[in-house]
Amino acid sequence: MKFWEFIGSLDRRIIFLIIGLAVFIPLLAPLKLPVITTPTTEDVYNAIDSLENGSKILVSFEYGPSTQPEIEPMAIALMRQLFRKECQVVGMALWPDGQFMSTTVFDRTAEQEFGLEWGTDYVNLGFRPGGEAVIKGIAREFRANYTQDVRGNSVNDLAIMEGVYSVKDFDFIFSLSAGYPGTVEWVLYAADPYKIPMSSGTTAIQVNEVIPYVKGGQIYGILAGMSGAAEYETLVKAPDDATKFMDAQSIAHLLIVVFIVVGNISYIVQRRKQN
Amino acid sequence: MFWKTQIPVFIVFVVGMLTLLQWFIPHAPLNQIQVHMTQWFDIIAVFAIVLGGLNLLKLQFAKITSRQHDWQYALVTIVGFFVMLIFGFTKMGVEDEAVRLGSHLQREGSNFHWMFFNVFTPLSSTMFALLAFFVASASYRAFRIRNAEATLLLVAGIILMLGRVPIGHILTAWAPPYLQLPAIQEWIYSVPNLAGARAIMIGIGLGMVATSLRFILGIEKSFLGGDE
Amino acid sequence: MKKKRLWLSALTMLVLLFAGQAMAQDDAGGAQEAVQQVVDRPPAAVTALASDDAPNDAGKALIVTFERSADDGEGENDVATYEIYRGDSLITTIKPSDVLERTITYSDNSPLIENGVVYKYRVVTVDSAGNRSEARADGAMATGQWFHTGRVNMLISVILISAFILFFIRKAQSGAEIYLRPVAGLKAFDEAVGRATEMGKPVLYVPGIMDLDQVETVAGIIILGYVSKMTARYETELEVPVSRSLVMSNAREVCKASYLSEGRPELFKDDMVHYLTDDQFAYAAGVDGIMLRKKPAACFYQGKFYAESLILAETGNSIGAIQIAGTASPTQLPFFITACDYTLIGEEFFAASAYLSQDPKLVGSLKGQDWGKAMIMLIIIVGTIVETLNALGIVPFTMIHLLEAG
Repeated sequence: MKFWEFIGSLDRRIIFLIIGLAVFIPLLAPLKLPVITTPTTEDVYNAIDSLENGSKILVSFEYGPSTQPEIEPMAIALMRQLFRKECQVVGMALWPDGQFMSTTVFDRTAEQEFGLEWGTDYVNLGFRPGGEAVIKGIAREFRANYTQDVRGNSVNDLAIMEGVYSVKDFDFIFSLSAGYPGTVEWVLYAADPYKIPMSSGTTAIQVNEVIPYVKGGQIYGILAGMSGAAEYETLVKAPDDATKFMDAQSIAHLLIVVFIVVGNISYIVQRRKQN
Repeated sequence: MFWKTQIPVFIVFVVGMLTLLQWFIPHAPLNQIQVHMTQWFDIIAVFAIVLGGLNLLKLQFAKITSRQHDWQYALVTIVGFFVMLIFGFTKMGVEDEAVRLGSHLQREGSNFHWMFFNVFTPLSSTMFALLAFFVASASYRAFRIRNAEATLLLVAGIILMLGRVPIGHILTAWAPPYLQLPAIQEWIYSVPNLAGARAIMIGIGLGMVATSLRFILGIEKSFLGGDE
Repeated sequence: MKKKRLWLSALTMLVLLFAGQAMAQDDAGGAQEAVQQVVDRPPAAVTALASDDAPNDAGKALIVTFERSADDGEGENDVATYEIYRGDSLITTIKPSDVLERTITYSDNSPLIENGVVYKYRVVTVDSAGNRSEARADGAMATGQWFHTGRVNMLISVILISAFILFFIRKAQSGAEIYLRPVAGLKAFDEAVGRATEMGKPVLYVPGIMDLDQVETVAGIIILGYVSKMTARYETELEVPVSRSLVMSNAREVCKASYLSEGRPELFKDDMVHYLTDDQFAYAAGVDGIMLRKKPAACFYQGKFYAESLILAETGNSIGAIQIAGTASPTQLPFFITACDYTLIGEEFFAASAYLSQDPKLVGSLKGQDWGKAMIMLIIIVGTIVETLNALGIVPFTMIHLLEAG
């Protein structure tokens, strides 16, 4: 009985230590568990796959360093799918840190992997303050809100921006979002009112807020947290960081379930003892 | 009272009504009202950061001078504050002279860039990662079979946790597809969870409408700090 | 000799055969040429070409619509592109495969378009051989509209909900009894502050991490007004770390007014409301530090929260504080419910000021809000019935049709 009492009042630091090990060990010795795709991720992949080659895509970066490990694998896989389809990608950020995040992603994919040309195949317009007001602004007049890219080139001189006067001139919007302003604002102020197809990749915590829009048909699928990113990497046929991290996440989830079960046994034992 | 209550209530009324009307009247100049208002807000908020910064410094200096408990951390805060301020407003570390002030923040090699990726990024990620540990300890404590509802919550929680990761598929690979954990978790997520989430969101939306209306019409004034 | 003749005749046959094949090929070539001549015919021009002002906007935009060429998808089926010209300038090129519908619509949002100026559009159909056929539209002028016709249903909803709220405010002011269901979290406010007072420990109040442009933040500041009244009354230390400078200024004003109204202005200090940082997780770290150092007996989290919610609430739980959360962030509610003693869920959070003040005007507005909710429930029920009947083929319209018609 004393054992179950001890378990029932287990110091949370012991739980932290076990979780830490459960995450750390699979990172060192991967189990290579198979990643099975779910319909919400497949919807994202199919929506992009059905786009015409050479379509113009607006990708908005709404995450910072804290959520970088969760969102960046999605961003990298997204760029791979878009650039393989020779889509023209325009990046922007609604978060100040988002500009740093977008620079890292474009450097790694467009520049290093695909060797694409800035201003013709892709461009990074960077951060503009104002949150949802920026979305409303570019929905009306894109060039009044963005006059130059992060390298200081005038938007009017960029070949990729030819014919882009409002957000309506993009074929697809993708929001990589970890909070406010993010996916919900894109749906409310751009995708839904102007009927622009859109998809999103969010942190696992955010999914619950976005899923009503997915099921309502206002967004094509959603990449839900690290597991969504791993599934998407599988579909894009470019397994990377998220796939590697899934082993750790699997073990951590399993361990939390074990904790819950053990905690409940202790609870029942103690309750019987009290009765 | 006139300056602290009536005038602010009047401003809230005018701005609130204009913002509401612009949703229904797309004609100029109303179509630009919200964008202008938001920009005004951003400008005021940017200037207000000075107030916040000064307040932070004042309290941290006070901790050091009065040698309060753990005053050393206050010293770290002050040093961090000024170091980032200097790196932000100077082009330290940037070799290319042609780079403009402001653009240097993005330049690899600038001290600000180095601090962002090598200090700020790992610190932020660490804080976010704490969630994994806190979710574990909170679940361990909170998911108890107290009654029927709590048991339902517990079972749903376990199915979701396992169903979202590869191990959930492996554990139930023997079962027919509709009874496998990923399929059940997808159903829980898309049907009962979504129904509840939508109901809460509608309630929240209405709450926001009613609260905003109370502000606009001056029924709720306590947020101004005057009388209620 | 006979053998020689035989060879000759065989050779002749072969030559004739080859010649026949060559002639047949020539004939085919001739036929191909004939087909080529048919292909070279210019494509049929687009039909029903019209240009008009784009609806429901501030002007500066026009819409061009036309029916595809008769040689696109049918006929010769060789249309390569449609070129749209405004005056003499080419403004866009559309490939037949770019659009699924038979009618093609193009919105011209170019910044060059001015309101009140007549613009003439023409569409040139170009086939794969480079042949061109042109269609011209009558001139059109961009203008701004004074009412967004697509939002009539929303206007009706706003008017109805506002009418409900105003009606019940009047009713409450005239002395009508309005029942408020008990909310455990709100009843616990007194208990939490009382407990901190008994233990001689401070009360920690976190008004979320967003700025004053979020209605949740303002709602959090309103609740702070009530909590600070209690701390003034009980002479309990209050600590309000904030993550936005404007929130700091506003929260200070509210606390000052509370201490003044409780007759304890001397207990109010500006620094009880202090700024930490704008950054989400740095702020969470700062608040966690305050919790671990000062060990408050009561922690209030009232406002807009994101991922830091559980980091704050779990730390508060570890120090044994009584915790009351309130938020309209649906994603953070599960974390608060798990880690806190009481949680004000969504609309309860917005209703808190009415509950705490019992001001008839505010209580009346809650009743009006409930009627608004009843109206939405009715629409959902009607919508479900209409959609079901539509799916069964009993009615020809859907709820979307009804709302759009509205």
